[in-house]
Amino acid sequence: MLLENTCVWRPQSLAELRARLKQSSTGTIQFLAGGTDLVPALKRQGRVPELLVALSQIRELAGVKMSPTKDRLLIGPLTKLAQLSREPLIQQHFAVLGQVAGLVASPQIRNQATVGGNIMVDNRCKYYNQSEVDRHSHGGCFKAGGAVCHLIPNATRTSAPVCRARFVSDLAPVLILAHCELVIEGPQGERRIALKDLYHNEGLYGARLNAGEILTRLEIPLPLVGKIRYEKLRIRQAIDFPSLGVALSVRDEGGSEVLDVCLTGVDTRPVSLTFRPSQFATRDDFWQNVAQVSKKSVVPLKQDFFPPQYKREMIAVLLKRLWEGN
Amino acid sequence: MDKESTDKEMIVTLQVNGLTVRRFVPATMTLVEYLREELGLTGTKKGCDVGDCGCCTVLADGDPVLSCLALAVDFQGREITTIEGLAKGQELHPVQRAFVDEGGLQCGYCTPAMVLNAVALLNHQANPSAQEIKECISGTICRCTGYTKIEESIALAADRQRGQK
Ligand SMILES: Cc1cc2nc3c(=O)[nH]c(=O)nc-3n(C[C@H](O)[C@H](O)[C@H](O)COP(=O)(O)OP(=O)(O)OC[C@H]3O[C@@H](n4cnc5c(N)ncnc54)[C@H](O)[C@@H]3O)c2cc1C
Ligand code: SF4
Repeated sequence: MLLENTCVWRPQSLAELRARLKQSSTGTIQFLAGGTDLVPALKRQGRVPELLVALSQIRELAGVKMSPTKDRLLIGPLTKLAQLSREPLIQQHFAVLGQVAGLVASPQIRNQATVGGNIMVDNRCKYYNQSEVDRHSHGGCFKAGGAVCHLIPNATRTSAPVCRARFVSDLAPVLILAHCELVIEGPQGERRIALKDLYHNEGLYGARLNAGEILTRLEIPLPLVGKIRYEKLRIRQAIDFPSLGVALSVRDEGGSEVLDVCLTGVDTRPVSLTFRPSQFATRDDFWQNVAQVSKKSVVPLKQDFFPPQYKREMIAVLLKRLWEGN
Repeated sequence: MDKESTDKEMIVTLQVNGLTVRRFVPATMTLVEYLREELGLTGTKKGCDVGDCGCCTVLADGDPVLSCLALAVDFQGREITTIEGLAKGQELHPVQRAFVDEGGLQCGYCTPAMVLNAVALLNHQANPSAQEIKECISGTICRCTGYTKIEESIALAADRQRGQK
């Protein structure tokens, strides 16, 4: 991959990075963590930054620790997924996160991929995540800088660029149910944002931070509010992105169970839903309601191997598996 | 920030198969390109070039990684092992020997990656289960063998390593 107009910089510390981010003359910047999402994109998708800031040397950004007050788990965005699965603090306080990290991509990729890169992963579409030759054959779509969407037939060359590329992070739904908060640093200083508010209802970009902003920490309040579980639908169990991912957290509300659900793979962003089974006379009524709500709440399009209707139906199936354990 | 640390070309120093190598290369050169084009180590294959096929697997400080997904400069100072680094002269590495004896290959394109995945596994786990063997090669695609022979080769290497065959 030889990007003729791109410089690479490898800052040694956060202090060095901060000083540089304050300068206004950096041009377009992109951060490179594990590179497992970004490097293929740079090769194929052609959105090339002037400066690639490789974060791998910044030790402060990696690792998991407990807050001094012992009520928050602090996860460095540069923590590798393989490391996350082995991390004792994660196993003790948030074991499901380590298990879900083990479902991402392949063993080699998990040795490179990071948590920060995972929640910032770009949205995907079968017309976009293709080789240059393939995309050229049917013309670049909105996400590729063109003037058409191949997925939504009535989008025309004069339409506003609406892109429905789908959100695919496996970790995000589980982290959202754990009320994860992000610490973000930029030229304007530090800000905090709930992870659930990071995403937008459009597929052109996945999560988008302001220019020059970097994610420096993920914080998880402890103890977790409910018991969190996750199921993933994909064709090749060994490597595929989620065609659908369902995360479930079961909590108690005045003696009744409440199901907080977060979905990935079926919309342009993670989709949060809440179900109260006790409001239904029978389990059958409840599952019918789940099916109706799923139908209304997500608009999967024909973007991967599974037909949209099948994906919708699988939401209730995976949820049932998670909740009833079958 | 010095000139060398942010530029379109950079000095990249790696430990490859026990030797220190130093090259002045384009900063966005991937590790697989560095190994193949700068060092002539063509045992590492450039297959799909986007992380799907796993044929570009090398070991970085003992862990399998995909060399097509990373910049060479991001491995500055680290220990890289490629398939060329396993044999000692004419003597094959025990995992390579097991692949030959068990017939764990056909066209050979994925074999360097399969062998390196297995070497990493056996370094951590002397007595791997069938599931652990499957898992260790799950990120590398073989289009000819159907995997069974590869799994048997790794099991044989494990048995031999423990002195059982
Ligand atoms: C074959 C294959 C299969 C895959 N399967 C899955 C899967 O099943 N599930 C899944 O979720 N993902 C999958 N991925 C995508 C990817 O590997 C993971 O999402 C991974 O965790 C991304 O992390 P990274 O460190 O490699 O990110 P990078 O590629 O380095 O970065 C991704 C994005 O995040 C930004 N970024 C990274 N760190 C920061 C930071 N600290 N601050 C600001 N921005 C930052 C980058 O600028 C970039 O835009 C797959 C990828 C491949 C190639
Ligand atoms: S949904 Fe987005 S990525 Fe897919 S074809 Fe339309 S514009 Fe392109």
